[in-house]
Amino acid sequence: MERLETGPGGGPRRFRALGRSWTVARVVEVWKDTGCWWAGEGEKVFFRLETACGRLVELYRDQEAGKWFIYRVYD
Amino acid sequence: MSTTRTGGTGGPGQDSGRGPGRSSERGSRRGPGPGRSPGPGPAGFAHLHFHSPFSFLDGAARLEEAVALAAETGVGAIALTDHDNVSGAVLFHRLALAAGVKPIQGAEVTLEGGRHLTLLARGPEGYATLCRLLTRAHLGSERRKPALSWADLEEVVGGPEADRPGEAGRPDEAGGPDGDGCSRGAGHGLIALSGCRRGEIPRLLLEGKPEEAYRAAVRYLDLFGRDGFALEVQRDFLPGGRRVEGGLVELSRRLGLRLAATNNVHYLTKEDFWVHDLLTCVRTLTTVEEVHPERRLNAENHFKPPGEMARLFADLPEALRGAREIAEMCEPAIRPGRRLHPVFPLPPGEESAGAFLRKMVMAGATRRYGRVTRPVRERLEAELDIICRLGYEDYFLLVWDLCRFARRRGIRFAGRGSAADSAVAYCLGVTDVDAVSRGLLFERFMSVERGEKPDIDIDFDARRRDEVAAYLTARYGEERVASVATYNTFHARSAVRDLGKVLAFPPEELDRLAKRLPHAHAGSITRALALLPELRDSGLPFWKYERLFEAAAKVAGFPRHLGTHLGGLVVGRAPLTEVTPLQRAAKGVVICQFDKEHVEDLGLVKLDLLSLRTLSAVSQAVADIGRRRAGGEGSGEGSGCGDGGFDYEAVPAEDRETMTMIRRGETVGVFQLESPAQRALQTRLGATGYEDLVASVALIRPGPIKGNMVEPFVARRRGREPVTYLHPALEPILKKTYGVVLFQEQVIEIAVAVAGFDPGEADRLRRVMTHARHGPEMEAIGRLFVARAVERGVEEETAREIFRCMEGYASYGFCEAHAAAFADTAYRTAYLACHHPAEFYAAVLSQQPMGYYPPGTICVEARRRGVAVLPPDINRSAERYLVEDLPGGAGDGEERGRGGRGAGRTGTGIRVSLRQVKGMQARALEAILRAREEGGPFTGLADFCRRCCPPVPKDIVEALILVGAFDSLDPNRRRLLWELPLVLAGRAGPGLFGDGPPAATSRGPGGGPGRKRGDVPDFSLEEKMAHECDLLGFSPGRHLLAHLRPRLEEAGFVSSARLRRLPAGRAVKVGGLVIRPHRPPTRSGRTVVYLSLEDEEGLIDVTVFERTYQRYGRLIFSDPCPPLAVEGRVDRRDGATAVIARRVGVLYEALK
Repeated sequence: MERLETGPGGGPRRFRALGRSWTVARVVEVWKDTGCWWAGEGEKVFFRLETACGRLVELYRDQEAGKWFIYRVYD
Repeated sequence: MSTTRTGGTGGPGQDSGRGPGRSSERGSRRGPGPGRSPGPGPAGFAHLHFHSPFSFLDGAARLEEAVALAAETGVGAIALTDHDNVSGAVLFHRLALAAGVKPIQGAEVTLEGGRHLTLLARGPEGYATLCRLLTRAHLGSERRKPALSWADLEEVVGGPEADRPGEAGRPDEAGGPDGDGCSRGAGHGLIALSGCRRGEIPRLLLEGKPEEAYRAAVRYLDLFGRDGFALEVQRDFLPGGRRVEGGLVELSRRLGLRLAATNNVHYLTKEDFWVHDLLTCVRTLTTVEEVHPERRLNAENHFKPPGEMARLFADLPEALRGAREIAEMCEPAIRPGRRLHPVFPLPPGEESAGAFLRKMVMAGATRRYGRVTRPVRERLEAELDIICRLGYEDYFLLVWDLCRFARRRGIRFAGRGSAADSAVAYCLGVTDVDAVSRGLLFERFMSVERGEKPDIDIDFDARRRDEVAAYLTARYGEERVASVATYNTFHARSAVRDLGKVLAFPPEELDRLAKRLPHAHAGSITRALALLPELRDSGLPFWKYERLFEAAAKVAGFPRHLGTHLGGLVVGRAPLTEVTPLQRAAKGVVICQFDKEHVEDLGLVKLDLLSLRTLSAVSQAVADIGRRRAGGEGSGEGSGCGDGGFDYEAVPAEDRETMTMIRRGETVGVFQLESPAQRALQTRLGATGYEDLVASVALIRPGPIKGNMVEPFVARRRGREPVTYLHPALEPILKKTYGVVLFQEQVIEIAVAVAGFDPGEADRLRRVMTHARHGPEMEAIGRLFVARAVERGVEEETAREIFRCMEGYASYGFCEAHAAAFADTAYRTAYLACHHPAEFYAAVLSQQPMGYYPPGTICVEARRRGVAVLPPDINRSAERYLVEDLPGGAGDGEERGRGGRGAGRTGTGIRVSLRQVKGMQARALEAILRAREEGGPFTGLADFCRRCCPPVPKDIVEALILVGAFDSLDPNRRRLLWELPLVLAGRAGPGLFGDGPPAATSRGPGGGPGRKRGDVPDFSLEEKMAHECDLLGFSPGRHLLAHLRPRLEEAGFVSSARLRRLPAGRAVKVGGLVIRPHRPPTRSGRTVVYLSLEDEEGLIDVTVFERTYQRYGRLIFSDPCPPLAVEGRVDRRDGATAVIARRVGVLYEALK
């Protein structure tokens, strides 16, 4: 994830990744995943987004690292 | 904290005109006002879906902590919704009210198909409905898991005509509806919430079936009514959550249903999630690295504070409001001061329970006392007055009736506990302790001021206790009688095993670790590691287990499942489902969902019907004595308690011979007096009478030991120390115990006499002292005691000293009545051991496992008293141990040779039973006895096999051979063993009745020598003894130590008999089989280990102090432990002999 801008609720509004910019039209789902806590993994917050261009994308934020990542892009 | 009000932007769920703004109605008071129950204030939040540890491996939030957090963060109400049970209800109710939080009782019910439904009780009526539903779910389901069908729901809940909660009974009961009837079907008193993701409606929405979800919602709405059903909205950040919520909001709009925000709480804080995850793994039998659908994805289901819930639902305020409204509609479910005591069915013509009770008591008094003197009459009247005023006439009649039943059926029993404080109980025949002559306080048992429920405990012959329980059920009805539950909780061992498995530790490692942990609180493991040599020196890698031990500490005390309390039963006047669900435990026993502490808060009374094998042994012994006196044969124990000539009840009091025996510490097998500590104490006290026994029973307990009561008591009893009292008020109270505080009754009397406590406070003191763990509570009461005493003119230091004496009692104090009841049985069994050792020890052996010692030790004791121990014999042994007259009469030479000095002296022997053989099955035993009965004695191995195999399997026949059961037919065990397969195979062909092809059998039909084959050399004596020890647990013929005695003497070892004659301080070497090494709590807090070494003449008591224990602890507690050699010195205190160990080693090594 090159750059990401969040909206008032803390969710993604606009981001730049995979060589292009994306604008979020709608947050479809949000979920949190605690991960393998016994192996030291931290919590991740997932967002399933519908972009302005009609694609379905999943991002997550690694809460400990404070970084955003692309998780899935649906064809 | 911010709250969103109805002015918010209208979302799809925004309702209009439903429910006026409540805030103005309520005012801003928080917490319980007078006559008001606490509740969520206008800005508060209520958690309506909460799982405590009573959700059995699915709840990790301790009730105490949750309630405290609620009070701290302004959560005004919590609904406890454990899975299919309400076991936490009483505790929750108590804790919540104390903290100013409203307790709402509910449950998350499992429906058929595995769907969940959250149900909340609006009050006591709704709670009763809930209990009925849960009972159906548990008892109605065929499999062990509870499941409620829709038909059940409809039947119990649906419609105004359906099952109405109602209480049969007296008009003073608070009954009737609690004013919640506002819409159709409200008689059921429940509010249903659509549930978590496993609820029917959310699941359908998740599956993308909104129309089916709609139909389901309609069904619930019809059943529960509009005010009785709401849609639960959980924003716990799971995939699909938005879709579900959207669907719920739509349903709310379409059907006008309330939304209610919950958080499906399973643990307290986000940081606790890992503990809950581990518990889930334990429950689903997976390891932490495996995936399982029941493991939660995230840590959102914690006890979120109102502020966070408000922020979370900022855009859906109606859900917050809905939760609040529902909480306001509910009241606590437990009604304090309720009485559901059983009603005794009076015989026709009797006018009242009170009158009938008086009649029975007076009749009993005449029986007991002959002439009823005035003091007795006055005492009885006083007790009856209290009993009737408190309304327990029926309860006493119930118990009297039960005892009458037992007596008629010849079921031996003995009342124990504080019931012996009651002269009424004595006259009713419930207890044999005369409270009047002992000066026992009735108030310890019952008093008007305390209004405490009586609790009667009775020990029964273990074999027949269930008959008595069954009688109770038959008499009062199945719906009114149930067993009390126990909460099986995590302790150190179970926590380590279960959590360790989840954390993927190798099983053998866990096994080694768990076995070495003491039976302790799961939070104290780390301490145990540092202190105990058997852990420290075990070679186990403790650094790996840090997380495991942390987890164990977190789950310490969590209940894992319900079990059956050993003897506790509740009997109610109304069906028990008014206040508790019923379910089945192991062996199909029906239990209520509460443990013995909680059932009373529900208004129920309980009684304890316990099994005591000692009473079984007594019954058997008494029957044998009677039968042998009458010279008769035959089986069975007679029909009544009066048995052919021997009257156990009429045993002479303080018989000299018996007391002498007790004083010498020769009490192996005697009830309560067998342990090394007790045996030593009898000698040290110089016991001469019954009172000494009463004191002994109370003295050898952690309480008196830690409180430093034993030494002063002994010193004063022996006249070595003057009897002094810290304060004159103590003299009348402590005179009978030489100035030492020994009994609970004394503790109460002191609190009253010295500090002017009233009975209520004194009772609280006693209760706190019985449940040792309450450190802060004890301190508070101590301060109060001292302050009050000082007010009454007692010097502060004296008051403190007095309280300290009382404090040492904290772990387990004994009730004098109870001690007296136990001492009674102790004395009587001692009498039997003294005067009828053969019958007594045969009975004790037959009732094993029981008592303190293994069978081998009992045999040594029997032999020591001149009773021979006869090996198992295929033609003479039975399913129990029998008494036989020895062929040569008293002093039979052969038997004497076998068993050591004195054996066979009485001319009687005890025949080892067939059941004692390891691996013996009931079926096999039955077959052998039947074959013998029908066809006469066996003539040889072949004859036996022909008649008994099958069903007796080969390995049992081998075992019988190896223990010498066939010795009387053929003493060469090895030869028999060698022949056995041939004998068994020889049966396969036709026409083979003991004769077959010559090679197959060793004997002809007559039992005489058949063919002569090459003689097979028999096992050596050592080999035989080894087999016997392995298969019987001991060697009946010859004790191992007798066998080793010549070598032992050469090596300078002394026997147990010789030890007693050695002077104190002498250096000595002793050896024997290790019996029951144990590590009791001590006064100093340092470790002392006690064990006994068994040799052919008796027991040697060994004391191992801390330093020696640190060096040899591992050996002493090894399992199995080999015979040990102990070097030390003779210790004698007031005549009691022991060896203080200096060095401990393996006996065989010492003999090399």
